[in-house]
Amino acid sequence: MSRIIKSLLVLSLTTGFIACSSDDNSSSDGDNNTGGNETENVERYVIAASSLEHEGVADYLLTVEDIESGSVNLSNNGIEQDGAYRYYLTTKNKFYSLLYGQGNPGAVTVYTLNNKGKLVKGNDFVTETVQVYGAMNNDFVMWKVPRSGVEIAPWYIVNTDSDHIVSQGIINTVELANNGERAHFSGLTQIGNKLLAPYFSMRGISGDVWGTSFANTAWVAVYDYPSMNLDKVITSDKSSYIGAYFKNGLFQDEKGDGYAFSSANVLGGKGELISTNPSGILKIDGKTLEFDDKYFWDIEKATSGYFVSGLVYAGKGKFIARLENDKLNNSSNVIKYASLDVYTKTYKWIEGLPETIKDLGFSDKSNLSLMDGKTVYVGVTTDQGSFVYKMDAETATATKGIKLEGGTITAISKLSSK
Amino acid sequence: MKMRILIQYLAVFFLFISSTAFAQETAILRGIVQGSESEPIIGASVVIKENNKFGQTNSKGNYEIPHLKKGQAYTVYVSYIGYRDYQKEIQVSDNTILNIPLIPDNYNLSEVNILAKSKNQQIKEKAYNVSVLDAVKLHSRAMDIGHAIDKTSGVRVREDGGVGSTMNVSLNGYSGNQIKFFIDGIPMDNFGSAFQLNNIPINLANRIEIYKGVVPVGLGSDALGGAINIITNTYDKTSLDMSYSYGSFNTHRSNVNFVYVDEKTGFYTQLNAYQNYSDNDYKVRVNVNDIHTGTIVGRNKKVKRFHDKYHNENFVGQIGLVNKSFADRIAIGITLGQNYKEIQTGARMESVFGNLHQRGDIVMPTLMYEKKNLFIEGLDVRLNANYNLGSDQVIDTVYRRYNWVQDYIDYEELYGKKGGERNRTMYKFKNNNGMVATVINYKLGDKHNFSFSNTINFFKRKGEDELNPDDIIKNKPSEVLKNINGLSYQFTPNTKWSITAFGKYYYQRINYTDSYNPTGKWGDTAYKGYSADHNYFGYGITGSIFVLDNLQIKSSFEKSIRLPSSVELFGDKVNIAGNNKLNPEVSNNYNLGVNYSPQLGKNHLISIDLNGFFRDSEDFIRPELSTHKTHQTYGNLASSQNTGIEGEIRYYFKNNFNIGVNGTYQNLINKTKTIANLASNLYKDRLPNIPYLYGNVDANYTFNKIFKEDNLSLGYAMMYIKEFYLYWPSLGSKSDGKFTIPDQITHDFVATYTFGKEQKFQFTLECRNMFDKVVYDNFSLQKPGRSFIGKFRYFF
Repeated sequence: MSRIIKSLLVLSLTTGFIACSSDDNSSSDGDNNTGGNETENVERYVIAASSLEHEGVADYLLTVEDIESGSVNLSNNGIEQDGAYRYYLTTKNKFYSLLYGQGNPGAVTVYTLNNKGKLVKGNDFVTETVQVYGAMNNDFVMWKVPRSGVEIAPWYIVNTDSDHIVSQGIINTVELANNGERAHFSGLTQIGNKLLAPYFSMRGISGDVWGTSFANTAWVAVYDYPSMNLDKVITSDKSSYIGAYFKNGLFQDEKGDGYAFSSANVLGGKGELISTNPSGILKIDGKTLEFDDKYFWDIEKATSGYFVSGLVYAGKGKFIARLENDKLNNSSNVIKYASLDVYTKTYKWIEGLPETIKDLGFSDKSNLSLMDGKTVYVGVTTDQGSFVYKMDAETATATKGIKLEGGTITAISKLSSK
Repeated sequence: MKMRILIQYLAVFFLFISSTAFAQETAILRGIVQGSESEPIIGASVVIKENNKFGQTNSKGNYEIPHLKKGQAYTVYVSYIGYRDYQKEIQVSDNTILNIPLIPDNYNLSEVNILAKSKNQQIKEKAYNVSVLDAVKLHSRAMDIGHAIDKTSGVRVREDGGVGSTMNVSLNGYSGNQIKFFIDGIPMDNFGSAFQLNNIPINLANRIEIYKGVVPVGLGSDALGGAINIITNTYDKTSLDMSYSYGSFNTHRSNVNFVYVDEKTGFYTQLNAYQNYSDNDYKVRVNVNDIHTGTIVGRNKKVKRFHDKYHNENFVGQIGLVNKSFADRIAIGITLGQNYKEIQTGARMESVFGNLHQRGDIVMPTLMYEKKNLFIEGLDVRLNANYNLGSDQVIDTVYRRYNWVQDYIDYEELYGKKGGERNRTMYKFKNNNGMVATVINYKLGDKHNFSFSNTINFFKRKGEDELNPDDIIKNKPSEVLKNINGLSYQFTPNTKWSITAFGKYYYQRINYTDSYNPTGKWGDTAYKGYSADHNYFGYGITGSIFVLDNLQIKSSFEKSIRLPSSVELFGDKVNIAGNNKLNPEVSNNYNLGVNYSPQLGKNHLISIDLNGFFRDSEDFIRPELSTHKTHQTYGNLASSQNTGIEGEIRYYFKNNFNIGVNGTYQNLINKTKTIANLASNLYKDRLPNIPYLYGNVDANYTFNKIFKEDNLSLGYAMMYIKEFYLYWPSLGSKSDGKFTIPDQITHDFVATYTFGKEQKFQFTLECRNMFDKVVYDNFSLQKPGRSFIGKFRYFF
């Protein structure tokens, strides 16, 4: 009998030992960055980053004081964001973290910055998984757009003071496209007091979901806000559609005009290029809200073969553009950055970037522009890892900023405590 | 690798030669082992104590021990369950015949003895790292197979909710399709939802074998991290087993199993019907949002689940013949079943549904044939075949959004358009899968045993959506053919030790059709066919030795393989792009186990099982983003390593009391050093969302003969799982709130009262999760709190 007791004792000791020896090396970098006294305004950059594996978990939100140097690590640092994919929206000094949940509704987490430079969770709320989102006045608008099956796309307006849905409705994507196919918004942008939503046309039929017969047109639906009544649809046949899936391509400048890019890289069922127009920059007149027929900047011609695959507005008519040279996206595809001046139609290649830029796909969810005509912070992933590069649209130079250790930058934003 | 196999075969060959070469100068001892009514005792070991040589009795009770020295005195020893030990000294002359009568031992037929020498123990004594669950002991309980295996060391069954909820079994850190399930040796891969671990009642099983890591050749499948084989009841006498249980959340379960055997003609029939029904309307703690604004209006509210009903109805029928000259058992049968399942939530409690549901059915004809000593003594053949015509369907046709207090917005009413809660669909697929599993076993003498197994498995999924009849892709099936062959050789020179070497050959062919638009014109479709052939080898070796009579050491190794699936190879062309260059997942599984069962005096027995394991796995198939960013694709991206220990100690007092503790600790770490040439932060990090320290305690006491021919059994069970991280442990700040699945401890109580001699009646009362703890296996998806279940069973 004593042997039994002994063996039980040994077992329980072993179990206890194993339980205690589990590592608990919790430490936090977050508290080190306490800055200023209670009344002072504190500013922080918020970097959303996923691990290199990007397995299972979405991102971690990191706050840094200095984005132009040093490094930040995902290990034991950052606020965990639930779910596989997330997208972010910063408006009215609030950081919204939205779950992309494949048709399921999900919780939206709201963060503000406290005067110690830490992100503080606000009231979360429940909403739908959406593909399109953007700020309008004191609100933001979300749009759930189906790719096949159901034709209707519900929209939701969230007030940023109360953080809840104040209005919702639907549009019919087939009726909007009015060409037998369906419309899918690539983004939404406020121009004046109207909501302008560029879209692409897609068939949405099984086996040919992304297929289209209309590869050489740009469409923008103009909605009255907040009634969301459709005013009109404007089109241009100089290039192809504006933006891309999950990528807004329309920006408003200080004069109230809209500038948009089209990649013109629409592929057919066999992977062949079916858009024949060149990639370039289109302009929408801020007063008439019509495409400016006299304006088109053929970027392919200007750069001898590069097309625009992403834009960040730096202010004063200047953009930081990501350019690529293979529309079929073969392995030989080269990614470069350039500074574009849409007023003078001049461009400069950005100097100071490393040779091999890898695009892991999520580094362009959001970039930070100071809107001073110069400064844009862009997440760039290279062979050496993921970095924030400070790009100067005026001098066309890039300087390496903070390095993200062990992960990939998915979004860059800035918040202040007041 | 081939060289090694060759050497193994050569070794086997020489052993074979040497054992037959010295046959001339020796004597043979033979005879028959019989019980008190002259019935042959089958499978008993007759052991020569001096040299541990032995013979095993065949179907007629005959045994034979060759290579004994003439004129020498030997001690013959026989031990068999339910009989007194037999021992006799004899002098061996030329051809000695020794008939051995065994005397039934009614007095000693205690639970202690049964446990020591039961069929379950025989399986355990094989060198595999196997846990055998004696299902018969659980027949009084109201549980399904999934919950039964959850009590085994090394196993964790994770589920989303109540009765009928999705189960994911993890075995030493492996889960999903790295673990394969079998029913009587037949792979359950594509049985559909109507016949699964979460709805098969425990009463259908006789025992459940849980192979951890190394899987014997008889189970033909590409299991990477182990296999679970459910052995159903075999019937050689007329019997009836009926039970009904009722419990919390309006849960009804019933089971009827009737077996009729005509001993004269050998005709038998088995009729089994069972049913599970539950509203699953248990209370959960959630945040309640306003359905119109999304604002959280109630935090941490206790609400009832309102759309979680589950029911299934199944029937298994079989007719056949037993104990005929041409077959020990030959039978044809059919499994029929259907299930209905409401879906209350998505992957998080914030996604609430009020109409979304699933249906499934199974129509599966089966054939089985079993014959021992076919044509020649020692050649056993078993064949199982089935074809599943069943289907599964998701129904999402109500365009509404619900919250936890059942408020909803009806979008169809509001906008006059049709839609669904998630994706409007009535997608239904038919699995059309068939399987033939053959096992041939040849016993050459008592020392050599050869096994060959072949499993052919074909699978052709066909789908349609009546809401979307033109849906081209979904209508095009993908076909998978798997053929797995295994060959093993077991050498058992005496009762002390045994060694087995085996090789497995995997073949897989996948045909896949993809549609595309050849012209760019609306609705134009052309098809492109793809196919992939894969051939792989796996192999392993196991050995066991009795160091003492009651101390056995066993060790095993296997290089195991999990073949890529058709979705992984070819994608689904909607969200997943295929990668036809995928290699299979490979794992080197090592096990070392000790079993020690000292009997301390007449009334006490302790059984200690301790197993250490090491798994070195490579080429894990994991999703990554395609270069076009719009799709997900799969790659052989990850490797991992698992070192762990699991064990069980059980103490028995007479046949009245037993108490057991089992526990598992595993250190499952990531061994992927780089991702896209960049050093990974997560190298050597513990894999997330997998329990790593868990265990069970249970104690049972039986009061015999309270009145007369009755007994009362009281049981207690505790389950413990240590808190673990949902995501990678090293990522993110712990003080800023990492997501975890917290510590879980539940206590269950059960009382069973049985009376009757020939016909038995059993009443069981169970209380699960006595202290009403909030428990969940999968992040945020809460399982039921305290519940009560009563069960009545009648059987003979």
